[in-house]
Amino acid sequence: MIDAALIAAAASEPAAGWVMGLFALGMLVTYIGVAVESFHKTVAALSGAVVLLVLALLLGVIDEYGEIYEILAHDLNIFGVIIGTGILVDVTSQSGLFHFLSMQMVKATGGRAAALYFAMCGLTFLFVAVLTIVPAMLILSSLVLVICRALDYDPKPFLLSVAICANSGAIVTFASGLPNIMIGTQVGIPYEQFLMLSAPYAAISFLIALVILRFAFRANLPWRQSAEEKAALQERIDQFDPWALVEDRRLLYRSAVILIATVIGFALAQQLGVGMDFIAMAGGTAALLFAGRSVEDSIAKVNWTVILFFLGLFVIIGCVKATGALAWLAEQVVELSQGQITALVPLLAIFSAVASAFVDNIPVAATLIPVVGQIGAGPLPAEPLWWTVVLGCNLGGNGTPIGSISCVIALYTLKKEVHQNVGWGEFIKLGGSIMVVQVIGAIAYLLLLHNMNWIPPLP
Amino acid sequence: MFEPTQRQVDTNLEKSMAMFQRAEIGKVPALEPLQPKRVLLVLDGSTQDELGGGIVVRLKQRLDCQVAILDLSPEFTDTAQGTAPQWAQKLAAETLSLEQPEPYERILAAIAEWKAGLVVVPCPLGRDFDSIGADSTGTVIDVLLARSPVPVLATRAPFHPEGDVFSRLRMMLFGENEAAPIAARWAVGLVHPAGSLELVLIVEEEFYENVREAMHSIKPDVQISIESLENALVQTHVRLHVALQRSSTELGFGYALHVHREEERQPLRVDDPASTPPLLVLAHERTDSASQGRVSSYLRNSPNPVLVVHVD
Repeated sequence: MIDAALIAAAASEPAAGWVMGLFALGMLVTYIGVAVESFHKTVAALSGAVVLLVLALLLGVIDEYGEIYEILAHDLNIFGVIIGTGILVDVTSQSGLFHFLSMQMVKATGGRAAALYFAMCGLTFLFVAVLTIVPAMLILSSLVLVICRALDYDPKPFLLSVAICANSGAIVTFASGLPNIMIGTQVGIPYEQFLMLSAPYAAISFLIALVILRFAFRANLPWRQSAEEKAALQERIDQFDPWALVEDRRLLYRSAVILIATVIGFALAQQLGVGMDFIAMAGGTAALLFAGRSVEDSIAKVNWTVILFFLGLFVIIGCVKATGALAWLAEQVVELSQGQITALVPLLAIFSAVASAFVDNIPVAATLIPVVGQIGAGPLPAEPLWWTVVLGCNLGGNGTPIGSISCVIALYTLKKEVHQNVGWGEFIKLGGSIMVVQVIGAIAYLLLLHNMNWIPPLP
Repeated sequence: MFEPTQRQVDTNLEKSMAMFQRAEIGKVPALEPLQPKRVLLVLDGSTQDELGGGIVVRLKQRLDCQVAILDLSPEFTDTAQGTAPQWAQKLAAETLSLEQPEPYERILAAIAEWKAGLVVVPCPLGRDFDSIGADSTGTVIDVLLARSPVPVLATRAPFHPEGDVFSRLRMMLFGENEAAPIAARWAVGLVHPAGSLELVLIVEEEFYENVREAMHSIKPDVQISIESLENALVQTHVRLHVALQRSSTELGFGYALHVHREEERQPLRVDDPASTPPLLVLAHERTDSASQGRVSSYLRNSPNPVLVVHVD
């Protein structure tokens, strides 16, 4: 049991109740703007930031304009990570490295349905871990379509499985997804802690998904094939030459070396005494210097929309936090859970997963970060709660057809290229079941680690 | 997560699918290199003789080929004999003497009689850039492009590469071209083992506009992007690309494929040799007027030596 007053004491002087309410309402309206499709997310976030910043100055929530720089100063590292990894991912993708590797993997399966299916799922897991969801999904969706057409397989089980496995891949490392980057940079979670805690559960959730998917698609693919069929498939797959995908071998090798060096750099960042943003920017710069074909194109590929969105979001959260509203919310959460980690972890996991299944997981993570930060300011250990948010926000994407961009891309591709519609009911039956099992597993996993004292403290 | 727009997904998916489809090419062997055993060096007494002679010296050193010299300098200069004797001595070359009235007739006769495999000729022949302009190739080159039975390596003064012209080769293709495979074999045969070869596919803006207009009149709802034309061009030449890649692995030279849009083409600058490959390789399909036009255009505008490989 924890005294909620300790959380309040850790927070700054709260504003009047109506001021907190007004700012919370402003935040809520912005989030509705973010969720509504007719309004651009970034415009919604920037509009909310402008309005709340003006209100904060008028109502004395912040004393002077310069304070906003102090609020944003804590978030600058995330921009470095997004820019650096964005450039690196673009340059390595342009080199054909991932197309080449995926075609090599497909060739290694000999075109056999079972081997191909599990190889595609495994590739998804690995590619998302390295590339993040969108670029990995674009590569794998196109690969599925081309290979399924060549080998006469139904692409639906492949595409749906790739979409669902992508959300497990998104929790492997610090740089695998935006919620991880947000939480990792804001809280200062070292990269190796992602490998120690998040990556093992990513593998477990991946296996959970594979088992359920294999059962769900038991009648959709020829899981057992005769020797003649295998020989014919081998002959067909031999027509593909992965080297046709590589325009310049030297660029391919350089890209691979820079990518590996950056991943090692992330893992050693803490020991080296530098931030993840430095490693990401160094990797991005090396990619431009040694492997980039068009510097302007690669820089333009950085997701500036996300960066501006974050800028707006951080201003909003900073203003709301300054009113004390988030500390109050943290108090309510602690009271609801009676200060028990065993109650807080399931509460946060279910909230973050369900919320992420219906709205963007970025605002969900952005809202939970200050709330968990406030809870952690008290005597409760914050570490299990941070990992809960990481796992919940990413795995929640499997819950609905709109929960994750991987599902959106897969369903859109199925509709456009294969002319097959997957309805909400059909998807929730599959993805929702997987999400429920994965989230229950995540709760059990984190509580087990917490009880065994295996969750390392944050630096 | 942050969704890409539907258009971004469509574009990237199409591009990625085109890449994977490109891989379905079956087995492609490395190219068999073509190298000249007998090289004819044409001299005209101009400053270009030094460049042509330098190129042939390198060829002889590397390939141990036989060299013959056709000295046309008396046609164009006041001196009875130019630098031919020195080059003949340096290259251990025989000097050919022919009686035909026109220089191009003598060159064609020398190629036939001496059974040359490659002719190295100044462009323009016997004229300096000040008199006819740097953008002219001259009649002799026009005739050679139309009739030469062997590849023509045209030198282009005043540019004089300090290094080995065979250390960097750039083969340019614009579309389907029947001369491409043989031009690639020549490029593979001539590139230095420690050098590099680029295959540059160029999408011309005018061609794109024509295709787009034609498609629009046939199927108004179908949009053709320049990226889809680039993909189609790569698809057309993907077997050649893989064959060149295999050859580079076998022979040791560096190789890369590039796709350029016409407006993005780097200018060939005389004053910056580092920005320009020393030797351009052009595939010339003589029965194709578009191919003829492109070869003439590149030859006129290039400050670099150009190797033109023909098929009829």
